Amino acid sequence: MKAIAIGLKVLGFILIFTTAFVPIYKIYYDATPLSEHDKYTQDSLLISIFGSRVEYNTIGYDYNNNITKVYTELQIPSNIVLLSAALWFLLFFSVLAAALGQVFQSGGVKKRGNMADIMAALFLLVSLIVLIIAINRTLNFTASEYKAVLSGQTATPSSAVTFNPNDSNPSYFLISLRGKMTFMFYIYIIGVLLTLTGLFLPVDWTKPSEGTFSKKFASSKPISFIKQIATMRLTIYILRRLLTLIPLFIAIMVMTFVMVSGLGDPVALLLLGKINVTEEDKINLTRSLGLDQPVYARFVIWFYNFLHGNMGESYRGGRSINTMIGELVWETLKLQLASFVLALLIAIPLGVVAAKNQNTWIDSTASTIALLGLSMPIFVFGLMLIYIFSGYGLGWLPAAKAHSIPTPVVDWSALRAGDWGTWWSSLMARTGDSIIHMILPTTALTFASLATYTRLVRTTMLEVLRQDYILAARANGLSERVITWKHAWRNVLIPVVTYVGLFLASALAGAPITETLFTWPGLGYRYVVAVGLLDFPMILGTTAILTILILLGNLVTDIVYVAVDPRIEL
Amino acid sequence: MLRVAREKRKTVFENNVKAYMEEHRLPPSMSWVAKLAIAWRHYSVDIAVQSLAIFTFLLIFLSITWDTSFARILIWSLIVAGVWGVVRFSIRLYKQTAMQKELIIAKDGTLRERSPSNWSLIWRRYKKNKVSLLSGSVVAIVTLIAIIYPILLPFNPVQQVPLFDAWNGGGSIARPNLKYPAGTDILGRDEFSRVLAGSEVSLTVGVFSTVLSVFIGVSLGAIAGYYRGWSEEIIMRITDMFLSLPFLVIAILAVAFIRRGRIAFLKQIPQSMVIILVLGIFGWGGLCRLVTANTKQIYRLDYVNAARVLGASNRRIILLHILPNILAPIIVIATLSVAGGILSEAGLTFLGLGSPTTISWGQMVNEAQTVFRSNPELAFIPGFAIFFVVLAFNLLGDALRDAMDPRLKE
Repeated sequence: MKAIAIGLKVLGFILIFTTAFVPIYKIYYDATPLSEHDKYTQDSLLISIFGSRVEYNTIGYDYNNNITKVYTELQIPSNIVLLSAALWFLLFFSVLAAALGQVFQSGGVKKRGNMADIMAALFLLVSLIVLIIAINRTLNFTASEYKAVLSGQTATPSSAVTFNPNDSNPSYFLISLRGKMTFMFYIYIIGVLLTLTGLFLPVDWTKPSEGTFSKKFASSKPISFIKQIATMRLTIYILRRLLTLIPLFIAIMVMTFVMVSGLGDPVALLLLGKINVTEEDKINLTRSLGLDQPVYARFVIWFYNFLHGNMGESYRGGRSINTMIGELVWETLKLQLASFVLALLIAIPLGVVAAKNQNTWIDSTASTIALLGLSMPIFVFGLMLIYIFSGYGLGWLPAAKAHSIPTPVVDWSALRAGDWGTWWSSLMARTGDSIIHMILPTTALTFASLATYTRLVRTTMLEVLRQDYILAARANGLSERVITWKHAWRNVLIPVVTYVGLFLASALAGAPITETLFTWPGLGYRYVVAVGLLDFPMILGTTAILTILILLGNLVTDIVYVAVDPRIEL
Repeated sequence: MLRVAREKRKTVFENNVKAYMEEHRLPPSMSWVAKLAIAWRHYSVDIAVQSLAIFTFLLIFLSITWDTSFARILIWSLIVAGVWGVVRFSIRLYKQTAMQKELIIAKDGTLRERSPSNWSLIWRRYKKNKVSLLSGSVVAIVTLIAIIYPILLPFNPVQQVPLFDAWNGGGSIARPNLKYPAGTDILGRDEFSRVLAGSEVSLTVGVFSTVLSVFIGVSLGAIAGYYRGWSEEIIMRITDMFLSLPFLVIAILAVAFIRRGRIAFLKQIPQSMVIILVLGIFGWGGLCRLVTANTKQIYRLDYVNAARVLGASNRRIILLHILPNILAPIIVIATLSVAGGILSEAGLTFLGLGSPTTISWGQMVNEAQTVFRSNPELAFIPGFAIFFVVLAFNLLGDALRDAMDPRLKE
């Protein structure tokens, strides 16, 4: 019985897990333009299908019994996108809960295992109920086809809705929406049923297994290895931390989203300076940006898309946020990593030397440098660097931008002919150019972060040098160099390694000021610009990426901390 | 009650006179000399005379040198003389009370020094350090300037009076001269007055954002550390959330949301209040963790148990037994976070998130970037003002830490 229960649960879990990566159903858009004749003869013309209501233009009769167009509005029971997103949320949590149950059960904690089982079962039940509601609504929705009048908008299955505010002639389209359950939906249902059966089988978990097969299976090498790893405290710790990170991220993004949605009216800003803008155009633009939705619906849709790796398109230029951030992240990381490495290279010897020569002029000099770096606003130091070294003063280094040479176009035919020289020289020219541009911002960042690292290394070194084993090493007649760099240094490394992750994360968040000062085309500068231009997807995408980087930094820090120092209780 | 106090003062006075006569071997007929000499000190007549002398000197000196109305000269002399008198008198009063506190009468009748309290030890350690005294006085001076700057201003910092004074060193972007000590900015306003006036916003934001974050962090941390269980779990998760926020990114967003957002009543909040709110609300995470850990440590100690056995309420234990004992690290962190608050305010306003009507150092640096080639001092003077104030606060924090927790110094 026990083996059956475990087997059912594992099988159901695997099935659910596979469906989590594949869409359960698909929506097909089908748009064909309507002729001039059609748009008045069609009996009902749909204006809006986005949102929880449908707007029609129907042919009807007015008070004088003349045929006119009549505007009608219908409430759809619920929005298809919203429902599917809610469904995905629940799926996500049910998978998590199931994983939690498995982990705790294999950990051998019976009570916890039962609790987790019950929680998982509840999650799964709720998700099943929601699923059934969703199916009903979806089937109702897809039963009929709609004809749409979307002025100035064109919708195709592949591309997004494009908008031309100068186009005052509306075009008319027949848009049909068809939802279809994919094969995965049935697999999901089967997985849920199997897991539920496994969960509710009357099994006494406290009893040891009896069957020979289960004993053999449990003692077999891969299974025992998995068990060993799963019961390791580090694994459980990491899983627990991961589980707390997810609601943390969601909470941060909810907060950000609320603030972003109250930031202003991007439609008015986008239409600024355009000619022939009608009220209709404004409504259409609002609709095409999805801003006619309530905030919670927009958040759910955004999060749904984010989980699927799609952060939307920029309001300015309509480029994909994914590609934009992909380009910007490299520029930011380049700067941050360079300054990070430089700061460590300077701070470690400085801190160690200061600690070794405590209360001498070396120590006080190091402390002074650290204090200056801590107190100097980074933009003032940057302005000083610009004033001295850039075109304002000596004229040695460029003060703005990351490159002055455009990305070289790879001439494949020349390469194939064996002309590697031009390619190589252009590559080297670009690399050198980018390094020259990096010098000033890197120096500013290094100076700012130097202080923290130096202080950290110095205090830790002092603490370690006071320990008994250093005294013992000294008593054994070891040279100071060996004591410092072999005995003390390894113990200094623990907090240093631990904290630098945190500092790197916070340095990433501080990027906007430096990048704005040096007009560096990185994440921070574009973020400030996006806040000014009310480019909502860009703001959200940048914040999400930065938050994830910081959260992962914290997680890695915690894990390293625990892994390095076994005295920490989990 | 009052009469008793008066009589006590009288006896003290007579004792002092007797001591003086004995010391100087005066005959009884010359007791009036001793009375005068003691009265000079005892009733603080010396301070009154000094103040009067300063007042008279300033009145004469200023009316010769300063070409202004007599009322203004009178007010200035009064202020200087009054400040002198008050400061001298308070120092004397402090010294007397401190001496009374330090000395106790033991059972055998001898005077002994009282074993010093924790705070007087801290003060002694603090006094020894020259850097800490320097930084403390710099902080005090800057705070004083931030409070009384309206009477120090040579020009109105928001009016473009110097713009129409181009023949006398004014104009749009004038270089520093004697009339306009830091030049004039791009709109023709006196830069020196603006730097003075900017101290108000910097100090207000730094101090009050710290007050707000200390209030939130300490109350939440004390609750989490004292009550444990679910409350600790919830508060710690919230703290985790606030600690893992990308601080500057969220602060930019929050300031933009409040300043230019859609919600009308948020827009009416003044600029410095907005930054205070943002920095205070997002900056309490570290303090909360620290207070929680310290409270947990103290919770186990015997005197807390004793208080509980005696029937003290939870509130009383937290407020009277736990908080005073974790005050030292809180004060240190608060001082350092004032520096951080000033830096963050400067950063936010440097990014152009300030309101154009508020005078702020970061914003002045931002505005000066357009004329950076011709007038770099317009950017550097407010920039270094930020630097020095932040440096003073950082030094003060370090000094306080050294004084309060000498173990950390080594």
